[in-house]
Amino acid sequence: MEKVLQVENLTKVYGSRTAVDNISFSVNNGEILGFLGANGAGKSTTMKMILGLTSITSGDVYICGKNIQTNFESAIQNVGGLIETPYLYPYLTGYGNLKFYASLYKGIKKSKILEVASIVGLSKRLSDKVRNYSLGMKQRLGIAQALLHDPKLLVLDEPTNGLDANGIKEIKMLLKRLTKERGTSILISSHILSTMESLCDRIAIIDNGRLIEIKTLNEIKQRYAQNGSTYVKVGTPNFAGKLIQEKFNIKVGICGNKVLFNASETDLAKIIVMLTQNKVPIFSAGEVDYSLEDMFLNIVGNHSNIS
Amino acid sequence: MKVFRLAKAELNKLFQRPAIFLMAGFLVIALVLVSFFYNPTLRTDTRINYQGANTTEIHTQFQTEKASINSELSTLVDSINTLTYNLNNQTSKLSKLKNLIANAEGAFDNFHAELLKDSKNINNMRIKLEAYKTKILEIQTFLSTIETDIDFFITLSQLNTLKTFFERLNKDIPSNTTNYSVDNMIELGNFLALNRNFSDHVYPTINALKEMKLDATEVDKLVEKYYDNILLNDDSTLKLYENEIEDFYYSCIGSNEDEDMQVLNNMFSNYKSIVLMAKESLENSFTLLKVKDISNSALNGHVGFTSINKYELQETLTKNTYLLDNGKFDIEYANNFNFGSTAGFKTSAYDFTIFAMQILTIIIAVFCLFFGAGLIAGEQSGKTMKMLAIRPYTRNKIYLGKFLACIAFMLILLLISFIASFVVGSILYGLDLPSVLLIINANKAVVVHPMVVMLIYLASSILNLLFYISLALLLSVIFRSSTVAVLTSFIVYIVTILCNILMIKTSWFKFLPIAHLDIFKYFGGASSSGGFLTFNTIVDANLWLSLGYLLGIIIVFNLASMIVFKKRNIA
Ligand SMILES: Nc1ncnc2c1ncn2[C@@H]1O[C@H](COP(=O)(O)OP(=O)(O)O)[C@@H](O)[C@H]1O
Ligand SMILES: [Mg+2]
Repeated sequence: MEKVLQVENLTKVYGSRTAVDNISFSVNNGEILGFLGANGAGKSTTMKMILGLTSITSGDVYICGKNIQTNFESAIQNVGGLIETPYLYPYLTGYGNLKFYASLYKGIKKSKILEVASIVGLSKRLSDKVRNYSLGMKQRLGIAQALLHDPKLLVLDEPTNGLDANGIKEIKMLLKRLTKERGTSILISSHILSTMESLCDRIAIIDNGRLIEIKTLNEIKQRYAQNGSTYVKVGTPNFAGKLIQEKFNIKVGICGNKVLFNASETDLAKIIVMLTQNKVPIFSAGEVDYSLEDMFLNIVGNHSNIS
Repeated sequence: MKVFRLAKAELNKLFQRPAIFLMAGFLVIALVLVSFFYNPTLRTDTRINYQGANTTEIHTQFQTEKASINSELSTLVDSINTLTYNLNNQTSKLSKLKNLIANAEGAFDNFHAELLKDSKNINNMRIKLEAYKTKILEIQTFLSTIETDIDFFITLSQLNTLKTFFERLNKDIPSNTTNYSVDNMIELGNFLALNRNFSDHVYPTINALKEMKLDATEVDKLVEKYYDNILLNDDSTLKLYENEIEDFYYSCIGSNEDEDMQVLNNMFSNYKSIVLMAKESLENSFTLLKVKDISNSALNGHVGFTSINKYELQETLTKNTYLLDNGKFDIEYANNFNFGSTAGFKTSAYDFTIFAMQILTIIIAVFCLFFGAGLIAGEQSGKTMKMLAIRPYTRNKIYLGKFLACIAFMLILLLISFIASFVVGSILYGLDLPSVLLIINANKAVVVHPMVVMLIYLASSILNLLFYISLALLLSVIFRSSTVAVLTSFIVYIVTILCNILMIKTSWFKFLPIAHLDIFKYFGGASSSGGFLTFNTIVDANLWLSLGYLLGIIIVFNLASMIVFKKRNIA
């Protein structure tokens, strides 16, 4: 089956620095792909290239089989996008904003505008000026405008940015419903990792412009377990890591302030005693839960810190 | 088609911007103010009005006047013929100047030769020196006549160079040399030969002077056309009209009916206007013939031609020729086509509309620039462009859609203002205006309904605003800042007005786009009102040149905008 989005060897160079470095991935039909990476990792740049907002240094982007560079109009027809915060016309009402974007497509009726408004739960505030909207409402209106033309793919860059926990939960529910009810594929980015949990089918981890890993949540969890399910958080992780490796002969991973390894509870106790004897300041220790945050740090840490 | 859809959406959006109310308010206030303060100068009625008890008395006055106008005319023809004769027989002023200079040089050589003689005679030296000084004085006198009377081309600076040189030379030669010894004389002679010689100080200027070329047969043709055919021959326009007048006069000799006297008065006015038109035409066409090889702006530096505008001469010539050829001698007819701040003999809705539009257009221009820049730079800085650029529209289509929206916006505003001004004008001044004589591009005369002039004015404003909109769009694409774009465009707008007033005499002014922004000035008569968007002076250009230049620049600006817009990332 044809991929909704196919990214091949995408590269973006700004002057001398490579913001996106030879990234390839694809989004399947009806799939939610999470794009995870720290600030400045290159998520937005990749998405801007996918949407044709920024020129591509090299590589190709296909949306429903259409090349974004050579066949822009047909390719972009299948995409609804939202880059960073939605930028709307403050002097127009919510309805006015939607109507403007709707009028750019052929045959989008008023009923469609009302429908997308009700999907995002803005029906009651449509006649208010957007200048009076809260951030959450703007975000939802931003998603609504991306849905007007029933796109096969939604590209959402940090759509939960600046929202409170409740707002994030609402957006996540909304996106899940969209895939379920309409089969829309979604490419969503975030640096807040909890956003991805219980939302994304697969997660692509991007760091320093490079795609490090693209796996399902389960695959990442398994891979993570191999690296170590126990941690100590210490003041001098490199020193502590070396001590543990030497004295107990186990493989460790270092990630931030955490030293990760596989050990039984008794061994962990011994390790703590040993570290204390060696005057290593210990902040906390225990079993790692399977939160995405830890996994992410683990993977990025492995990649960049461990020799 | 897609472009139009985008344009429509953009336009819709534009009209929902809050600033629209501000603009509408400004337009209404401006229109109200104009209605209150519009107070055009009416043209003065120069028709003759003889005050007599009866037709015979009026006729007598006319006979006297007729003789004086006719002699004035023959004087003109004589001077034209004399000048032509002189120029063609090497007795022109330039030849005379060259002769005087050669004579003076000869006189100096005589003096110098005297100094070198073996037998040195102080008296002979004095005589020769005095002879030289006399020649210098002759040249000075001649140069002083050049300011008012000229038959060759000399610029003011060339004239001043000559004048300054001879003045200094005159001072260097003492009038009284009684206390000079032979050695003193020789010293003076050597000084003059070394520092005041003509080959260094006079001939470079003299050799650069240009003789006026006049083809005698061409001149004869002009005289025949504007003097013989119209005034002199038995079947000339004037003679035929004279017969008409006499016929009428004999039918009412001695009548003191007001109506008869009025008719006779009008006929005399017409008679006079025929003569004046013919005279003006002869003068204009003769001047045009004299200066036909020199550009208008170059002429501006020349003594005797400083205030000449070839375009205007040609325009008047075309107008007069049309009036004479078509028997329209009525001064009212020739003067009824003035618009704007100067009206014809009477104000009408048309004058008012053009005047009001000149002011309303400024407001429209400012808002078009403001909204136009907002459509691109505003959306870039407000980042809404990001949301727009991911629609199925290529960048070119987005640009064109926005450009079209701007044009539509401007057209709607202009049209509304135009209709509103016209309605107000009709209420205040009525619609009573005869047809209008329009001189297009100085060479075509047509009689049109005044509404046609309004439409031409509107078209000219549209082109003018298109230039500024294109400029504002280009600047907003480049700088991505509405403020920079609007400010810069507005500065260009103001600078244009200033330059058209201040730089009109600069030779390279015609190469600037801003010299070509107003095409209304090429519709003679109609534009003689002056105004804010209308610059009357035309230097070395014509309708087609300006139109081509203007359209070319508009196209180039927009192509450049499209290229930059396409290349730019939308951050
Ligand atoms: N217009 C630009 N010019 C130069 N460098 C840029 C530009 N935009 C982004 N970058 C750089 O590219 C890198 C990736 O940025 P971005 O894609 O915005 O990261 P993310 O969205 O993952 O936070 C950053 O280091 C950023 O500094
Ligand atoms: Mg980003």
